[in-house]
Amino acid sequence: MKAVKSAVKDYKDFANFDVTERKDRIVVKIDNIDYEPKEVFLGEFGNYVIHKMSVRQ
Amino acid sequence: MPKMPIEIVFDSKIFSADAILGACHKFLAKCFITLEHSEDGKRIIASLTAREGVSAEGLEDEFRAETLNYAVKQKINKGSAKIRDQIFHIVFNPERLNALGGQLQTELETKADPDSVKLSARLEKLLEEIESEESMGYEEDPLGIAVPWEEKHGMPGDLLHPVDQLKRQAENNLINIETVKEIVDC
Repeated sequence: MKAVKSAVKDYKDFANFDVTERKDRIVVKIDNIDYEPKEVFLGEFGNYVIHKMSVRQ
Repeated sequence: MPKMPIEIVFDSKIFSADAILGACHKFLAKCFITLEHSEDGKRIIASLTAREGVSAEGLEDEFRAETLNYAVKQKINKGSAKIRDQIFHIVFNPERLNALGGQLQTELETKADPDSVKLSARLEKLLEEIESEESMGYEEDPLGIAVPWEEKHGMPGDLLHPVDQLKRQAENNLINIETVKEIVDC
């Protein structure tokens, strides 16, 4: 959760994020993405979360 | 045209999440990655989508090899953790390091050369003898080194006058007779 929150904090200037924690997963809803192409933005965000998780080990 | 993701499935009994994360971290520059658990929770599924300009060929094999590499590293680290901790403990504890260094040096000296074992035993014996002699004290003087020669042997019976000594030496041709005469006449 810390990794996700930290990534959202760093990416908040490019989109709107809504983070909710469920039983076995964290759901991040992203809209108003101010970056094209959007797929690349989502991919970069996912990679950034993995990076944050790796360095926190 | 968007690239199709490559799905790689890992058995979570063999590959830990940390090992897969380690491999993912190395591939972040090559592809976009998503990770998820299977429904039954027994597998971890990694989806790799190659970035623009990166070939997807061989990506799966590379990723699998890297994950295996991280898993092995993790296993080795886990196995050697105790030894590593002990080494760090010794290195950062100077007293223990010195004690161990001395012990190691002695062991190396004796093990390197079998003759040195005998030599060490002889040296120890000699040291013991010296120590036992030292414990007697210098005042005891068992060999009588400190006793003057005259006290020990008395005055010599045939102690001659220096002139007579010279004459005797001249008679035995040890010195020149003329020289003796000159000295005696003086």
